[in-house]
Amino acid sequence: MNPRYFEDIVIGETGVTGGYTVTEAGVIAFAEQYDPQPFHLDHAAARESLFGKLAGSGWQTVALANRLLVSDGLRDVAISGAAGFDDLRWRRPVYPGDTLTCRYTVTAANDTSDVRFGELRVEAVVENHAGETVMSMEWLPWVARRVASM
Amino acid sequence: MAEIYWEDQAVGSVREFGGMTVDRERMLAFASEYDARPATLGWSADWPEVDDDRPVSSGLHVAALCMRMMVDHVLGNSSSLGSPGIQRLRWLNTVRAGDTLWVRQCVLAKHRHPRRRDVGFINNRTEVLNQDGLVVMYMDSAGMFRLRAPQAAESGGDA
Repeated sequence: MNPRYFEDIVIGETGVTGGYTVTEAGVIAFAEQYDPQPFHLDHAAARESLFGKLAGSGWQTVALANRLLVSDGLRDVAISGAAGFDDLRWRRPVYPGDTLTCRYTVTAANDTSDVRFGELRVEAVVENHAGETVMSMEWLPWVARRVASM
Repeated sequence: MAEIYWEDQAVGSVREFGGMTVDRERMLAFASEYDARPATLGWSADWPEVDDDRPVSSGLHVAALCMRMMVDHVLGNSSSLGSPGIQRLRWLNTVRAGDTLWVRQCVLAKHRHPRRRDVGFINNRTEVLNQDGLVVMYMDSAGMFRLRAPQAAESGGDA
């Protein structure tokens, strides 16, 4: 498969990824390694928190959004990392059993400090299976330029 | 019991903590699950990559390790209620297996919740540094914390 390069991306390009179903084991495994707060690990502690029941780490949701974008929605794009993101908001908890999808729109394309790469601005919205927005961000991936790849 | 409440975090105060070394197996496991690319898994690529010496850590793995250090050194001993979000996050330098990461965190601003007398927000600038003192990541984010002593809404204000 030929990758799509920075020059091939059209501003306004939009799509929806496939789904990823969050499991209780996955929530706990992520939390044990990266976010061991009681409301991500323990049912009883979660019931007394603002989440009301066992909820995934917000960082797991960001990581899953990245997975859906890199390995699904934009898997044909020559992504070489990212500058970061702006305006990330955790709008609702993610619970075991939720199936997440990511809607994305390319809103801008800019030069970077390295002539071999351009930077996209991608509006990414993660939704659960009820269609509720759980997270949103403006993601800033670097994409290789075709001219540098010849 | 929590020891760090909203009141205990003064604007301008700086915390430094961490010293976590990036483990190669965990770095690669994270990449294959959440950020599977030539750069993070060391695959050959059909396009130029930022770094020739691959694999490099996924930036999100660096962010996740930053969170772990924040939980171990601050949040786990605090009245934290979670976070509404991150205004800005940037990855500035490459991280590889074997690097040792530290966190430097400064309180930029704080304010009370507009309605809940027992909750307040803390705005932080959080930097992740490597063993050479280079900043590899920074973020501006907000955290929600319970107050030690709930105040009447009208008596509070920006600290």
